[in-house]
Amino acid sequence: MSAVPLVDEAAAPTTVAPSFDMPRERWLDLFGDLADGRPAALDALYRVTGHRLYGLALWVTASPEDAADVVADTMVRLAEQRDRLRRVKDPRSWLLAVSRRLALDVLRRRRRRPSEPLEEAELVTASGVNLDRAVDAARASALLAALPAHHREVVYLRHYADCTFAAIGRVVGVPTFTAASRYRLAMARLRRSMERNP
Amino acid sequence: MTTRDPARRLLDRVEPPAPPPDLEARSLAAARTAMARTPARTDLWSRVWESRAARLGWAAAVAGLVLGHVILSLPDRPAVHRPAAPLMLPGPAPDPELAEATTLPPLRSDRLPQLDTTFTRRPAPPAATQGEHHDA
Repeated sequence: MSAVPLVDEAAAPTTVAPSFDMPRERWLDLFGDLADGRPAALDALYRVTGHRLYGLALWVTASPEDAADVVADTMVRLAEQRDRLRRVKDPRSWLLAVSRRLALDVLRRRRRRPSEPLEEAELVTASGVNLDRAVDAARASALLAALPAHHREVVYLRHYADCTFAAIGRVVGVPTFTAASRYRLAMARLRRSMERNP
Repeated sequence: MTTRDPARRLLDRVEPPAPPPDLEARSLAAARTAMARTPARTDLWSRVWESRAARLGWAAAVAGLVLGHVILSLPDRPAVHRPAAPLMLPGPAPDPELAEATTLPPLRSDRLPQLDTTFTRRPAPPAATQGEHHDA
């Protein structure tokens, strides 16, 4: 007897695994699940965004402890404001914007107390165990730390969060043209720094 | 595809550090606590739709409108018949003398007209001469 499949695999809808690059509809589904009070959506959202949100917070605060606090606070905000999540049109940008605002709040609070210099922060690491890349990472961290904060965050959003200039504008709160202009200036400044410090 | 921009190449070779391993458990625990602490609030229209007071108010308003309509449409006094044409008002017969005066006599078609209305040209009488007048 031939086995008859219970589900027509060809007709079954293709499910996209949650990832930071997933389509906007999947982001909206996750936000909708959380708005309905499903805690599993929190887990999925952390798995999808935790790494990127931590990186952004680290690039803004230059402190691993503060960055971790920012990510935790972002998840708390997500849970507290779940009744508003259905009105969010771009969840990915919304999460990045919330993290950025919380990180800036940390910076404002920190001005009143001494902190470690930005130049000593490890903004990037080498992928894998490779001495050359480790040297590159140390050099890149120093070069990025020398950038102005509003340039550094745009470089992060463009290069590591895969944001379009329009999305960067939404996260940072500037027009798209301004976001593109900041990125261009930041990369030019980075190139000049590399030439000065080969 | 490799880019020729050295700054981009440098950024491609490195990546932001991973979050600490315990951050996930800490963040999710804090988020779940916050979720349990803050009850889910629905939007305004859902709250209105599910509100018992709003439903009662809506039902009372509808009932009041229906009741008012029924009350206003009930006849509170005998209906007065208002004919469309007052001249057709049925009533006592008119005065016979007045009716005779206002009734036109019927015309009979078998009678000749009493007045000769035909126009015939009659010959003109002979004009009297001036001399004859003098003789007369």
